[in-house]
Amino acid sequence: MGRAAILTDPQAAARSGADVAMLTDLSECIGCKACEVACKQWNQNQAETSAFLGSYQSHPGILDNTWTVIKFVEDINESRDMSVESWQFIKTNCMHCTEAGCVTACPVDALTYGRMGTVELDVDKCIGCGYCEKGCPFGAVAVQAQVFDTDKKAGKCTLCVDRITNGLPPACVQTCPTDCIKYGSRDELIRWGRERVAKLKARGFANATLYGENELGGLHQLYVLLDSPEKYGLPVNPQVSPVLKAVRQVVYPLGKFLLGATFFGLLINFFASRNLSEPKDTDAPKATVQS
Amino acid sequence: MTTALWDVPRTDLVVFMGSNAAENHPISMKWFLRAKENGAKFIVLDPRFTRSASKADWYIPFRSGTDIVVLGGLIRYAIENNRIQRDYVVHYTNAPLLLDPKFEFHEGLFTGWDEDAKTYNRSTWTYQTNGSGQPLRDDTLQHPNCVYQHLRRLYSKYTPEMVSRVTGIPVETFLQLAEEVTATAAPDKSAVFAYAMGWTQHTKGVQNIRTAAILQLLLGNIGVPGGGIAALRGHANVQGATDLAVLWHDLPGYLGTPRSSHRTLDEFIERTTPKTGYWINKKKFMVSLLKAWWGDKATPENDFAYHYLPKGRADKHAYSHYDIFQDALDGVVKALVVFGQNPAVGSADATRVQQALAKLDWLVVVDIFQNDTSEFWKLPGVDPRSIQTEVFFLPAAGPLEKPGSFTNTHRLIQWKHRVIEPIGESKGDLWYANALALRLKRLYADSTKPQDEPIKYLHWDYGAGIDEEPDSELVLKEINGYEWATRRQLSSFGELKDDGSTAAGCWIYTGVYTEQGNIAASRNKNADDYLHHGWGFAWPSNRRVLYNRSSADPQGRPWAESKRLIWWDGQKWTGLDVPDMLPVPPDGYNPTYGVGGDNPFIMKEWGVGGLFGPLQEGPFPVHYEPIEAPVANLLYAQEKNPVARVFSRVGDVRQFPYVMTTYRLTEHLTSGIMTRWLPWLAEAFPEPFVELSPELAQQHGIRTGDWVRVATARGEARVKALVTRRLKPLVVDGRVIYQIGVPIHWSTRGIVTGEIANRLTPQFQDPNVQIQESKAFLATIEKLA
Amino acid sequence: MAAATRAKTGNQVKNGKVRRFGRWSIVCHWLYAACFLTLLVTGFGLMYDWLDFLAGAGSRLVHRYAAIGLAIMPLLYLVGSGREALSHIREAFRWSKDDLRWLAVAVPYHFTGRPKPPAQGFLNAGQKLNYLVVITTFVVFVTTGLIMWFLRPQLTVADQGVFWWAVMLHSAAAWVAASMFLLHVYQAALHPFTRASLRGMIDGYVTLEYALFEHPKWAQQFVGQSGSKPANR
Ligand code: SF4
Ligand code: SF4
Repeated sequence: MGRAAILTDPQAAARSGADVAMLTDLSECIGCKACEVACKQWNQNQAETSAFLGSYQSHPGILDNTWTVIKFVEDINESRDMSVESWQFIKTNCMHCTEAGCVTACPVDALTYGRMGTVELDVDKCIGCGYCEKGCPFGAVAVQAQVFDTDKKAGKCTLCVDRITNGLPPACVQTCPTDCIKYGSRDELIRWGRERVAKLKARGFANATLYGENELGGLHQLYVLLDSPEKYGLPVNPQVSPVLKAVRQVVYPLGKFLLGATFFGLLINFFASRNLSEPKDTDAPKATVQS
Repeated sequence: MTTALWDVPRTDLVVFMGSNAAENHPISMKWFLRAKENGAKFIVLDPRFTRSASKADWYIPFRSGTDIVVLGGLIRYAIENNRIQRDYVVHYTNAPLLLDPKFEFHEGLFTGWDEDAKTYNRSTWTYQTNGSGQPLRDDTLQHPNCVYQHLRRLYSKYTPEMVSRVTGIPVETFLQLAEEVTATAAPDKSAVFAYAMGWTQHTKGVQNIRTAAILQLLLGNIGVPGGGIAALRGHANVQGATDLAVLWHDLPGYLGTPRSSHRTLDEFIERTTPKTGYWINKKKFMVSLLKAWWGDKATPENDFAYHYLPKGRADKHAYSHYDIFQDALDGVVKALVVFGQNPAVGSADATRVQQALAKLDWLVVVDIFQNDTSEFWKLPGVDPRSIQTEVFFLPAAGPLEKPGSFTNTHRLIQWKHRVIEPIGESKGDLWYANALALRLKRLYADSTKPQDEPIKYLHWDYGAGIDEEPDSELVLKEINGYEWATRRQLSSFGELKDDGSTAAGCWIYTGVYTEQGNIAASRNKNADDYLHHGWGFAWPSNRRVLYNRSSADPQGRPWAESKRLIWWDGQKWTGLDVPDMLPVPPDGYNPTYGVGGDNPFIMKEWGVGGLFGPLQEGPFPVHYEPIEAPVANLLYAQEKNPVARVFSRVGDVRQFPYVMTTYRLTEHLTSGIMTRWLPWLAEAFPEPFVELSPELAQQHGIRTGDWVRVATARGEARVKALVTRRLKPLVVDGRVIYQIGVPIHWSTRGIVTGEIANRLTPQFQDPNVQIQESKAFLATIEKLA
Repeated sequence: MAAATRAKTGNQVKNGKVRRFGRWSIVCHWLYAACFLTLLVTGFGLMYDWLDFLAGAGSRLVHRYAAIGLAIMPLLYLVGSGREALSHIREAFRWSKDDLRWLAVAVPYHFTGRPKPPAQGFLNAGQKLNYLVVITTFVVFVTTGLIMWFLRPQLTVADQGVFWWAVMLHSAAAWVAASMFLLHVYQAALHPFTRASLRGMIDGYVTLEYALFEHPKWAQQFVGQSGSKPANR
């Protein structure tokens, strides 16, 4: 038996090419940030030191060079016995949505639905406009905008597509000391997650849930949660912004139609008006001159 | 640790006390979580709600420095409610043995206290024996002089109410805890206690652990599956450093150190070795060690070169870390060689350490980075013009740049290979040691003075000349031991002899490098063996769970089907692990060792676990307040550990009203040298902070993110405030006590910097191992503009 | 009306031509046009796949610089052209029935030459419309552009809608402005009725014939003025 973190043989997964996913069992995350470091190391992303955030959190959120961030959430219920307060560590990263706001938002198709269920970002195509950042319902992709920059690009978790397509588990999965980040075929993970949730419910976590199974057409980052998603700062029923959808589905076509119609109207006019003559003094509306 | 992490998932109860494994031993945490998965209850007791607490079923805050009261209360509860595993206690521990009738305990002191000498005369701390030297015993545990009754009387004061008054744990909570813990006295139940610096860094550090050991023995939880005391070691190789005695009070393999009063080898052995149990072989280990060090120059005729060993001065109590710096301050120590350490930041009362460094003639620092010790003259508050110390910095190779072995927390020795060549001019520690040793030997080669012989005749052969790369496998081979004449590698310490025919650098490691090769490098994955024999080598004898004979009842049958580990199959001891037992049937007796087949603790006298066990401050652990405590000792007139050592200034509770504790974070390692210089780790936790409760913060008008000054009688540090409900004010003896906590990782050098927290901590030391009391002392706090 | 139609600088009439725009206005017009065109091209790079080659980090930078240019241009115009600018803007907002009637027949008229639209002043209704579109889209571009440029980092996931509203208005304005721009250019450069007007945006003067043809209510004041005799062709 290999590591408890690996649910499907990564070699087999790479050969089959079917959808894979990660599942983070937050009931076992110890907030050690090893995954953050492994992610930076594998992807050779620059360190970016944040100011003191008043908690154990390293960065305010996902940054273009910081693709996975453990969020530290203290949940203290005053009315309860002090022994049952909770301190949650939430590994955030791109969810690799089936219906991805970032893909919808990206104006240059730098973001695409990629291999093995991932959402891939082509950094060479990326122009740093930040639309994806605002299209993502999870704050999982970021562009560090500056007033006049040309080198800023979007950055987000790749699901280690360069590793998984070559039969290696993602770097964070490889490093997590508690094996709480699982990797495997998406179906396998969902099966595992459901079982795990049932177990947790039996242990008294009535609100335990598997997150990501159906959200946005199915996420490729799943979570086992001990409590409802809000407690973890995860959106219940996340949606791609309807305004974004309207922009892409209504405004763009309408605008293109308007411009196109104008163009063709003028083209027709160009030929139709060919025989009309330019104003000469004789053509001048005499009445006006005389008045 | 007595057990293996692989065995932890078999437990029924995990208790973290003085441990924050999630943060400080994250790799080990997996096994505790597995135990929880398997249905074990997981309880964390800690002054702070830590990342470990977040994973527990139950978190109980208590006042730092009162562990013995909690554990003593549990012992009392177990005894009073008969929640002990009686068969185990009677047969496997010294509970039934009768103590000297004159031995007693009164108001915090045991018999034999010499107020003038500030030390104990231990003459009454002994058993009553019959004519043949056998201890008298009462297996009914009723005799007033038996160890068990002593325990009962000693802890009778540790009532739930008293526990609550001293520790701040509500009575109800404590009773629930006691129920949970003592339920594991059942033969088919076990509990594991995990500890680390939270227990050790006190003036009674060793006694904290002793108390837990006593409790676990009473509950029958040592040597059984899922049982034991899990001592979590902080660095990759701290266990190895201890085993190989990078210490002042031991020779490799826990052989102790001779004093000037031990004039001959035999005298040393005689005075420091029990007459029963496996230690009667100590001379074999000792002679083999001397043979490994001085080879042909260690002969029966010269007492195996015993006189080459340095001996402690009769007038000097200890040569510990803090004594070195004290001696430097006193002008006794004039030069210092520091390998892989940064005491100017990492040691308690860092200002004193810095002052000591300034007194040295010269200082050598071997490290992978320039650090605050090698550049101590640049530290704030230090005037470089007044310092004459000459400093040499030698660049060291990092862990991946050299081959060698790590001995990890569960005594598992694993070989690692070199991954990359050392960068630039840096060299491994072994290279430096070899270069230094060979240079010294050259210097003394022509000396005829007898005092130079230890160096002149030192047996040193690691396959490299001066400035050449030594072969680290040769070092491991020597540690393992070999037959002197043939150089045949030995496979068990049973082969060691006291006639000079064998050499071994650390007897407990014998078996790690045999004729079969480097066993530490073995990597056999055997899915069926949950203890993973075939992966690396665990000392002793590749045994994964120590004292595992106690997993079977006196007749040699497992206590419970679910707790099978070792058993007697009619012919021999066998089971899932390498049996920790002499080849004696359950009803047999080995007169050589004085150990019966139902005495599993073969390293101990008569093979029984030590409920009674003399240490510097007494044979039983009792509660003493920390040197700096916010309340008086509610249990005894003797307030503090009478033999604790106090080097630093002691603060007054009126000036410093809060209980302070220091600790480490997952993101950084000790003084931060290996982490704050690495951008990816530096960013993981960039700034130093103090954690405090909202109640205390409010009193000082402090909000999260404010700069605050934390001060103690030693010094002060400016850090950011982190106000959190994870710290709770406690009610101790009717008063509200606030606790604050500061991590120790920052210094003025590195990618991320901060003020040095160890300027706050005290040099108040435990008398047994000289560890500082950096987990419980007094401080005050103030908001900075 | 008289004050409004009197150009502030230079001769009103010269070599049989009448002055339509001041020099500063012309400069501003072309600068604005340049910025607008740059913005349009760099913006449309994001919206049309076949213009992908125009999208890029560099063109984003150009877009931002051009946006600054565009944003300050009206200010320069108002400061530099003062009364002229004001009078033009005022006129653009002053709509009469004739304007509406003009608009009603504008399409057939520009295709066939009839029906003849009612006489127009300094600005015909089409030009007024252009002014209005330019002004409105300018306001939209600047406000939504500022949001997209400077507010984006501050917007959380919860108020992403704000960003997308900005994008929606920005792009809608772009298409409206682009369509109007196309019309405007076509009229000024290609349509037989109005292509003579281009001169007015080059040297500031148009022929009296053209002025009388397209803007009779305004041009009649020049008839008979010295030097304004229609040149013989
Ligand atoms: S989580 Fe965000 S960045 Fe990742 S695929 Fe979904 S929308 Fe895109
Ligand atoms: S490595 Fe695993 S346990 Fe550590 S923070 Fe990441 S997810 Fe959590």
